[in-house]
Parts: sequence; structure tokens; C-alpha cells
Amino acid sequence: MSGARGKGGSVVRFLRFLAHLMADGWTVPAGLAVAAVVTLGADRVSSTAAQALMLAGLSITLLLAVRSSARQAVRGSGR
Amino acid sequence: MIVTTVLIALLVGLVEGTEALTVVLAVGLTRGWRASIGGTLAGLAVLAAVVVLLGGAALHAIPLQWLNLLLGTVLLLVGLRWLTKAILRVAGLVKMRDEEAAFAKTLAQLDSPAERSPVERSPAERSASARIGFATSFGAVLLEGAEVALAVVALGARPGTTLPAVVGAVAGVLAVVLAGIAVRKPLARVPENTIKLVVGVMLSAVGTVWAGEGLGMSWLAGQLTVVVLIAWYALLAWVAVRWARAGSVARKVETGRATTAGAAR
Repeated sequence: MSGARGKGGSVVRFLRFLAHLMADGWTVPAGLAVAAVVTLGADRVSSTAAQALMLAGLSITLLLAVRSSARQAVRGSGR
Repeated sequence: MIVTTVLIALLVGLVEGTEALTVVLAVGLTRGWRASIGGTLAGLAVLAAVVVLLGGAALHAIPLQWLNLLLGTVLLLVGLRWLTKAILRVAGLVKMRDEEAAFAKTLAQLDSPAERSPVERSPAERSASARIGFATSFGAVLLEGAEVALAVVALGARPGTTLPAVVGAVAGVLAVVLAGIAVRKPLARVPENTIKLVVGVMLSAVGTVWAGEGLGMSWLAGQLTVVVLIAWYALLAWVAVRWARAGSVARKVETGRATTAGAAR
């Protein structure tokens, strides 16, 4: 898992795994989208880019979780 | 990291302890304090055993890098969920938890009007009633305490963090117990959602750092990474609250328009 080579790939796999664990219907496509965007350079991604990628992926995951839960809450309350 | 560990464990203990106390108090008042305290102690014993077994033995058999990845993932899952829930509550989309309402509901469930008063009950009825009280108390402590145990195991699994995690969680739970004994009422004034928001931010930040280390990263900000990430997740939470509020208002307007158009047809 260490070394610059493959670090981006590890991050992508981690984000996809997390997305599966948090699956509310939206996280899997979100995780796959992040994976698709970075797959091109995944094996050569630097440590800095891997950190930025991880933070971006987790931030998107949180925002999409909020959006999905907010929609469910609004639907549930009949608003 | 030690201060962060103590603080997170203390706040998790405080929030979950407050929720468990509501049920334990209701059981004590309706089914007797013996059943209530007995169930609580049994629940705490099971949780302590889980912490010792998982934290003391199982996790130490895993290599540090894999341990970081595993614990980081667990903390992220718990942290992001707490954060999502707290954001929705702050945005007004989900009701705030009301300890007094939860207390009244549990009291009503346990104190059924069909039941005779404790004095009129036969020994067999009293025993059955106490067993229900014990099980209710035990279940509440186990359910609410599971997240505390998970946090203690996850936060305390890395070298040098076991004691801070245990001390923090025990201090949080002890504070709730002492406050409960003093006021003999549910702790409605504990700002549960604010604490959940803070804990969600902190758990997500620590989880990100550990998971990143598990993936072989060495964070650019070094020791300050946790602080930077706490600030980042706090900012993100603020953005998410505004976003959720705006989205909710837009959907209300859309629904209103659709209803008006439907009525006009």
C-alpha cells in the first residue's frame, strides 16, 4: 500500500469501499464517479494529490449523504 | 492527539449516557430501582467485556498500517453519520431529540394502566415486572453504550491512546450518572445535537487522518493535520446546513406550486 505508485488507486478503492458501507442509494454512484475521474492518473498520483483526492471524495460523500437524507426527511414529513 | 481522544470519548459518553439515563430513570420509577440499576450494571459489564476483548486482544494482533485503515474507516463511518444527522437537525429537517418527551413515552410504555400498583401485585407479578424492567434497562444501556464502546475501542487501539480513551468515556458517563442522581430527571438541558455535531466533526477528522495513514500517506500538515481537518469539516457542516435549508425551501415552493396548479385545473 505504500509508495507513490498505487497510492491513488488505494484511495479510490477506499472511497468505493466506504461508499458501499454507507450505501443509501447515492454513495455507490458517487464513489464510482470519483473513481472514474481519477482512474486515468491513479497509479502515478502523488501523495499530495492522493490527500486532496481523499478529502474531496469524503467531502462529496458527506454532502451527498446530507442531500439524500434531507430529501427523505422532506418526503417523510409530507412537506 | 491525546487531548482529541479524551475529548471525543468524553463527549460520546456524555451524549449516549444522557439518552440511556432517560430510559434507566423511567424503569426505576415504574419497575423499581433494583431492576433498573441491575440492568444498567449488567449492560455496563457486557460493554466493558467487549472493550477488553476487542481493544485488549483482537486489535493488537493486526499490523499498525492495517489497524489504521480499519479504525479510520470505523471512525469515518460513525463520524459522517453523526455529522449528517446533526446537520439535518440544525437545518430543521429532522426534529431535535427531546429527552423529556422520550422520558414521558417510556414511562407510558412501562407504566401500563392495566397493571396493578406494586403493592397489589402478587410475588410472581412483581418478579415478572422486575424482569421486564431489568431487560429494558439492560437493552437501553447496551444499545446506547455500543457507540461509546466502539469509540473507546477505535480511539484507544493505537499505542498510548487506550488510557485517554477509557478515562474520557468513563468521565462522560460518570458526569451523566452524577447529574442524574442529583436532579432525578432526564437531562433535557444537555445540548445533545451540538455535541453530536462537534463529535461528528472530530471523529471524521481523526478517521480521515488514520485512514490516510493506513493507505500509506504522510499528511502534509504533520501534527496539525487533525486541527486543519476539524476546521475543514466544520466549514463543510456549515455549508451543508445552508444547502439543506435552501433545498428544503425550494422543494416546499415546488410542492406548493404543484398543489396550486392541481387545484386550478
